[in-house]
Amino acid sequence: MWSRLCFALAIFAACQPPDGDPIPAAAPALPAVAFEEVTMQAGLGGFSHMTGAFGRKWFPETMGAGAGFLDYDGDGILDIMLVGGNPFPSRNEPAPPALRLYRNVDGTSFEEVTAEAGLGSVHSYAFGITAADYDNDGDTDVLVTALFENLLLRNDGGVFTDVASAAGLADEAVWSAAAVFFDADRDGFLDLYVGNYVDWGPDKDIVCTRVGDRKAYCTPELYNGLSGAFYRNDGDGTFSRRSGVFDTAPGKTLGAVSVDYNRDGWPDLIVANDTQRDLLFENQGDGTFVEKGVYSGIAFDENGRARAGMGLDIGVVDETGEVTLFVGHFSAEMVGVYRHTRNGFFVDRAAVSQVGRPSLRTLTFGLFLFDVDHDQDLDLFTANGHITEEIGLVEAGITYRQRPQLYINQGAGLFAELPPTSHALLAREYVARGAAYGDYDGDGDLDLLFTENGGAVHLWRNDTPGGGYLQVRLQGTVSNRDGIGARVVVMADGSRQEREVRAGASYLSQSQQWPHFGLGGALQVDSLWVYWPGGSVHRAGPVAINQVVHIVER
Amino acid sequence: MRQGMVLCLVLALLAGCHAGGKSPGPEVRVLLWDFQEAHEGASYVRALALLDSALVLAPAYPRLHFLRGDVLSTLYRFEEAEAAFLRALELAPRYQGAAYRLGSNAFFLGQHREALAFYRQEARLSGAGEDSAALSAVWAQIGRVYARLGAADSAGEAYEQALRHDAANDQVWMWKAELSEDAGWLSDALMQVQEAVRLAPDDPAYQYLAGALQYRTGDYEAAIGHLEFVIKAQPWHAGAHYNLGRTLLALGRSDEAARYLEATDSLQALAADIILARFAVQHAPGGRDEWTVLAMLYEQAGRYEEARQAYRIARQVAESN
Repeated sequence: MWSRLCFALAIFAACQPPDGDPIPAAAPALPAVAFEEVTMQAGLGGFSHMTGAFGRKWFPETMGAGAGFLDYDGDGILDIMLVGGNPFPSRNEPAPPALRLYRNVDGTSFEEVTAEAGLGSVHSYAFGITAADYDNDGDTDVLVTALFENLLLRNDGGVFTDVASAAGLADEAVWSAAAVFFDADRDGFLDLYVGNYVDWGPDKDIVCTRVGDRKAYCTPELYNGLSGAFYRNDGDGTFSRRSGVFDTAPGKTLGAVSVDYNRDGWPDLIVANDTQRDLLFENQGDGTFVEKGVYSGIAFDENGRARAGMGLDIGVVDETGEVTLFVGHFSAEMVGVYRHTRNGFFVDRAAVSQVGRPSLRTLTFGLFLFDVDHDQDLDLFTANGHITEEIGLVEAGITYRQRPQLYINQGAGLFAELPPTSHALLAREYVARGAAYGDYDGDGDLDLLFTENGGAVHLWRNDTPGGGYLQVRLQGTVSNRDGIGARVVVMADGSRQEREVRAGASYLSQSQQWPHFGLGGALQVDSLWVYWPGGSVHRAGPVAINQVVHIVER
Repeated sequence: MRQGMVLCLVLALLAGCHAGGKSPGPEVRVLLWDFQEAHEGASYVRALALLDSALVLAPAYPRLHFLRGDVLSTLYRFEEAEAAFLRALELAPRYQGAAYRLGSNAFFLGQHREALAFYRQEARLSGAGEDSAALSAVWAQIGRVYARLGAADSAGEAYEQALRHDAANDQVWMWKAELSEDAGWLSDALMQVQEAVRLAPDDPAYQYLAGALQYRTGDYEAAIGHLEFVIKAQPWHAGAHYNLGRTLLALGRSDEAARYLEATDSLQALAADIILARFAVQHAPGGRDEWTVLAMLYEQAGRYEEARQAYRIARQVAESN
């Protein structure tokens, strides 16, 4: 153990650059973002998430659920899947479908196709969805995390069948939350990581009080965490669970994301845990992993404390070209902002980035990076809401319903929160949980979708005026069919941007898989590279802007 | 240090307070002497009983209510403590320190707006006197509440006010540094905490922040001394272990770094357990088991003084039950 530890440290042992103060204080020029809530017009107004609450304040009721943009019918436009919730399995009550599927009719409205897609009789106390073509047959399948048994919904021409048991994924009846499809061993088949939360069941429920003697929801510290599980895709529609580092690392996972953080060509995995240290599973170049969270600097806050990790996302947000990890946290904890420094270290930039302080009053669940205004950098959206309705009685200044926050990238690794006065929708308060982005209306910019716990879903159409765009759709032939793990780089007007194709991030949610680039005033994309997980590199350019390009791996 | 400072202020206030009301009779004075002895010996339940006896003899003597509130706060019986401090103020509206303690109780319970109101009340009372140190402490607390409420500008103004009353208030320099740190102004934060270190070099909290900031600003060699100081003074300090580990890692001293980083995980888990145990005590301040668990965790962490106090309270609670 110690020799391995020392070896790992020796690899890490290099100076990391210090992090200075942000550029002071001229008031940032913020874009005029324009959103319109189109939930009703789009046909999503009838949706309401069910927590299953019946007065006992069971812990899972607080967690909410995910949402996703996916093209389930392969028509090239994004559909929407929502986790609807169910009664608790032990209650033996009539249950609505656990998932609701809405087909995108014409880029402006959706029709519910839950029953037609085979989901009408799917019942589960579900939390999250992760979408990917795990069997490489050309359509999008869905992994659903749930209380007790997860579901693997295989898509056959737009009709889903739960094959979790046959695929070897229903081996554990535990509470799962986050899930990530990624090709850990680069064999062309997507493997799966499932992040588990806590050891909870009706017989293990703990009674907590916050206001007087009334039962309140407990915090996760009181429950034992569960380690995650890694399943290797055997290439025949089944998965084999692999033991090892994943079984021994601490659990209580609510968020996970794959990323090749050290650019060695092998996908790594970052896991956000709730009140346990966060994890970085570094791929050893053969599909096996070593956990390096503490040594890399992402496990704790700056004071060596584990925080309540929720949703997360990662991307290149500044001129260093290195990835920065963002992790949502509980109220009174800053959103975590960790920038990689090229040598295996991350530095915590929460305060310096100017994301930290505005995030102290919010409990962030959903969180993602996207270029809202097409100015060639990634901005940050956080979906917020507390778990305790009475929180205002016991903690001044913290509310149950909370505003979402949109942080505009100012360059140089600095962000500025758009004030609530800048847009009416940003002033409204929600009990937000899952959040995802996707260009559902095909106008080139990214729209927002987020859920409320025990409440509505919200679809915000992005009408922000801005520059051009490019979207890239990949089809792997040697690599996995979705091209998950591919790194796409564009150069336009002297600016370099990159995205990594991934399945699973934010909180329990699935954003559009297809990489999207805002291009500012660029008249063309000068160069475009695709670094396929299979090892080949595709280069194209110049490429016309304001289009969707399809690239097939050669 | 924060708790220590509050304690110092309270002692100062206790010493100098205007008790109001008639002087107590000799029987009460005897009981107060006994109380003081019990309090100094950490026999809080006995101290409380002595105060209750005194109150039977002199129910309108505000100082007794104030002292009762103080002991009840130590025993985590915050609601009763609040009632006691309020009674002291009711009997003597200018009783110095009572509003301050009410503010501190409210702050501890997360009731920041109430805390702010009480601290402002104390500032008005203290403002009438000559005690600039006490006034500085009150303004410092006001700043701290504002910081918790997310009102950084107001917090900064309150800290400035605190420093105008007492520029040598080391705690204010520390809290100013934290405010700057939250804003990402690391250089300012470092200068401010260095002033706190200059004023109170033995304080581990100041040394810790100085070390952590020096690590973050790339002054690794300077960070080491501060962080080693903290670990020597508080071997349970997870943050100091973590930052020292990362500092050594940055300097390429991997083997040494591993030792500190390895310790961080278990220390922070223990710290989290202690926080939970303190919540449990807060919810059941009369529970022997809760106090015992807290004491055992303190002991496990090497926080022997706090362990001793928690064990004493557990024993006293058991006896009084």
